[in-house]
Amino acid sequence: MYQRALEWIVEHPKLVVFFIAIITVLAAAGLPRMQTDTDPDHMLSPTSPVRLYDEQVDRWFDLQDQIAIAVVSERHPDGVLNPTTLGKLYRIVQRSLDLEGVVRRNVKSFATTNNIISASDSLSQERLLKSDSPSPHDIEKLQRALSDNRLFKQVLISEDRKAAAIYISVTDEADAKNITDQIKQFIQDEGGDGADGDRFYIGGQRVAEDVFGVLMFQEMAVLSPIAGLVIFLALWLMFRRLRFTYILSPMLVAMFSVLWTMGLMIWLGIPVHIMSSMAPVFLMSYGVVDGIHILSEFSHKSRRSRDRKQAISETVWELRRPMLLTSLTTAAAFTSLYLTDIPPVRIFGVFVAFGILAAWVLTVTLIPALVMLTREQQTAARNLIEDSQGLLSRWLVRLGDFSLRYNKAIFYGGTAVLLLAGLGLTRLRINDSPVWWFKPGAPVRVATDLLNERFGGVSLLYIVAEGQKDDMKRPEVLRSFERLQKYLEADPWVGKTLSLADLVKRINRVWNGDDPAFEKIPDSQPAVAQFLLMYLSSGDPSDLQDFVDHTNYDKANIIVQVKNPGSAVMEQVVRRAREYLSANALAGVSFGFAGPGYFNDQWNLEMFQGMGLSLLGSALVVLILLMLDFRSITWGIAGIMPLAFTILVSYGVLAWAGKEFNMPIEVISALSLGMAVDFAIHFIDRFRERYRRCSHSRARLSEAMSWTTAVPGVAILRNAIILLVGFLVLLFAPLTPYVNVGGFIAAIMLLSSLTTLFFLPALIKTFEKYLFKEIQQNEGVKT
Amino acid sequence: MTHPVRFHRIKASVVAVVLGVVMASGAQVPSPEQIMIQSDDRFEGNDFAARVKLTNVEPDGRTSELLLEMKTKLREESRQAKKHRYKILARVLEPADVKGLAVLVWENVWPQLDDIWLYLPALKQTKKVVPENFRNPIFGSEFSFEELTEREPAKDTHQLLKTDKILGKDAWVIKSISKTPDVDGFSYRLTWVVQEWLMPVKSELYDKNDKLLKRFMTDEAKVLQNVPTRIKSTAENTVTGRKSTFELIDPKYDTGLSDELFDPKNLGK
Repeated sequence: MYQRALEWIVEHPKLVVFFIAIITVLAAAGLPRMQTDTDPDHMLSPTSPVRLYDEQVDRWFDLQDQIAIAVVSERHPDGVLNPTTLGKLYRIVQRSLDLEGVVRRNVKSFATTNNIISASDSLSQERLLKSDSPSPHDIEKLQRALSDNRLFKQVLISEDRKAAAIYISVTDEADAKNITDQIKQFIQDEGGDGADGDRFYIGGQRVAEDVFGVLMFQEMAVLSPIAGLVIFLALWLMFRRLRFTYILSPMLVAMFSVLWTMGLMIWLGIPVHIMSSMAPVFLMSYGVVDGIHILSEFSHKSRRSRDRKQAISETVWELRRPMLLTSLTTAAAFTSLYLTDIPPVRIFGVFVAFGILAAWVLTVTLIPALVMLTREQQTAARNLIEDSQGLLSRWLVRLGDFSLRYNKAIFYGGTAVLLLAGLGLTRLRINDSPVWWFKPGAPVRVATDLLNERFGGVSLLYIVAEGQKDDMKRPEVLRSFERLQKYLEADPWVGKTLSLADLVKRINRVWNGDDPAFEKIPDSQPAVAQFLLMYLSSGDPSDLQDFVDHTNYDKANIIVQVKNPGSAVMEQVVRRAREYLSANALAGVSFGFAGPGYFNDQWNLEMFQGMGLSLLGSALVVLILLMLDFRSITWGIAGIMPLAFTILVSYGVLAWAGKEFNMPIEVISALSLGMAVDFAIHFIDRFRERYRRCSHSRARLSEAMSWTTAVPGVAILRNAIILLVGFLVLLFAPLTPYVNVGGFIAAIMLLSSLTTLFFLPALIKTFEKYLFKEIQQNEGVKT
Repeated sequence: MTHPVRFHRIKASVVAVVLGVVMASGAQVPSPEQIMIQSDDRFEGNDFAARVKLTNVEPDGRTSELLLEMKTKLREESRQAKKHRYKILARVLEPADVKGLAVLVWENVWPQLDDIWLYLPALKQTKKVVPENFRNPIFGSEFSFEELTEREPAKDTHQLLKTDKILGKDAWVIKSISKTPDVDGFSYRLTWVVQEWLMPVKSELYDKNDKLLKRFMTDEAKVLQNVPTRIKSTAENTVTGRKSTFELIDPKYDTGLSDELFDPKNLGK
């Protein structure tokens, strides 16, 4: 049936091209309807307990993501506490309050935060900064208010008073990139960054996420065509003796598979997430793979045959099994991403799998059709005289010979490397942050580092206490918060912790004439309750809401500021908190964890575990597919060896080098698995075929091996080189996930192709007896 | 400024006098400033006592309740000038852990700010409180001090927008534009003042983009002992969805309260 279909394609190339064009146009028509989604909350499924709890905590305490702005005045002797800088700060905050998406009630700054001041027998409540032209008296008052106040120090003002912070709370739906851009304009209106020696820095996780969301699409729009162009140039260099259309055909296959996949996603109404934005790069590269095998084989065949129809039919026919099998195994590898609990990764996996199968369909239909539509190769004669033992082939044959000759040494050496790499995997550490998606020196990264250095830290963990009604007013509960905070603050990464305990202590002190001796938790619950009710009537209730549910007083929030945006440090802080809380349990009160920093840590962890599972799952599926296809358990195992080698060694090296893992690096494992197994399948399939044909030869193995390395081996290496250069383009991307993906895939291409061409022959030779038992037995039966 | 209960009532006779003046001067509508000032200065009995149920409803439906005892007394010195000011005492009855907490307000004539004292029974101490502005919520509710006592007219410029029907009565709708929007947190306010009672029964706060921030509504009003009184009102934060209701229980006028009750020294007694 396959043969009949192939004949039909070769007979009706115009019709084939026409159908493909229609599907492609339909798919492309969807592109303008593309929606994007950069909300990190969507990294966990809507039913994930971590996400549900996080959303619940946000509602309980009216918490939102924040855009953190630092104003730094190094030159002025009074630091930021000078009329010019304060005036700017005031005006910028006031203008920001009216921006769409800003949660006005929760904006924290000198210009929006109130302070309770105590005189001998009176209390008054004042805005820290009341106007944009503060008098020396106002500034002196501000300075007094800030000094010795735990609620403000390292929150609104740095220890050295050279920096002030503004926290702009924004809704989940808000476009933080747009808000940031408008705030930048306000800064510009104040004379710009650097005027009067005032520097402005805008940072934090949310800004990183939203800016990344915008940049990633811009980058994809710029880098994908460049990568395409580079791949095309590489193709052209390798196959320059072939007609232009032939060289173009694998490119068209890849581009159409991208359009079909993205088109389908958009028509199904699925928004494009950071993960799926990488799908085009993966498909662009994978899409050309089968085409290169066809071109390699076709150029080899067309040297001998002048009949193009026969040459292309034969090529596609001979490659039918490896092409289908490689597509199925790679698609299976990506589908296995569905085992993770991260919705964007699941969507990515399924759609890339679809794209791979689409690329297969396009390869076996569009390429033969295009070959048929191209005028007869005029240069065929020149091809005939072309040296069939090209430089690349000769070199590869020598490599194969070497591998066969020193098979034992290579096998043992390889096994040692494998074990060592496997050992390295135990050292794997996951550590990522949206802030690190930008290169060092990028504004958001500089700003976040500065905020972390000068203030308590912008990576937030919420430790949420839950008990019965009014429990949070109990002095012993508040004192337990105090002790937990003290314990956590012993960690140098924890810059600051704040809780209801701090607020109650502050109110007690202020009530008692600002006497520091009263900065403690009162001894009775009524005293706490009355302080809090008073605060609700005279202070800033939004401050109270950050720390406690003031409807029932059954829940409280301890805010932990961490000075490092990465998930690993957060993980460590959470572990210490858990240890402490289990050793110091408080009857009737339980504790939970939430917050943007914690969320980042959790989904990274989830991803890490999920990827491990999915990788194992897909390796198993691939192994079964290989065994079924080769109809041999031993060959199946041999076939999976290059894959195991590539993955273990590449990740092992990263682990040994102390490189920390992140989502893009993990997702590449699926691609590297697919690629490595592809190379192995082509190699083994063609080798076994050749081995059968060489039954007359005494040096059967080395003869079959020489041919395999010379012909399919060249295709494998060409594939590796083309993808390598294609992905190297990503090294020039300004966003680190793309740089990582580019560099790592390039390394994996080299590793997996060399493993196939160098390690696999040694392995086959070493286990020749076991591997060929069946083939020899079969032959024995026949004769 | 007038006290929290005063906006619940007004003597019909005062209204008649005011309206009589208005009619006599050629049936002209009073200027929006006059309406706001007269509403603020209106007489609301010699004294008043009631219990108040203050209920907060969170956006997710959870509620919390505070039961207060409220007493007011006319400041004699303000009677002559017809700029009636009151002494107001609010004391918490429930819940138990805040029982006895008391707030005492002596209203003054602008620009002198009101005097406020706070008594905490757990510490048996009284402190004078000087708030920066009167936008602070009362006991954590959505009612701010200013919404309950009516905002000082001098803080805004006023325009008469239209007349409207509300609670079955004719009302003026006045737009009051804040002179200090940064401090107030809103840009302007619409107030429905019932013409017959010279009493505001509804107001809405807007930001400068005309977005509604807060709505304040009288749900039930009746004339008690000749005084129009707001029995139940609701304040709704339209940004967060949080609501509070303020409901009078057993309101009585002119029961003969002694001045002693309103002495800051006696708050603990």
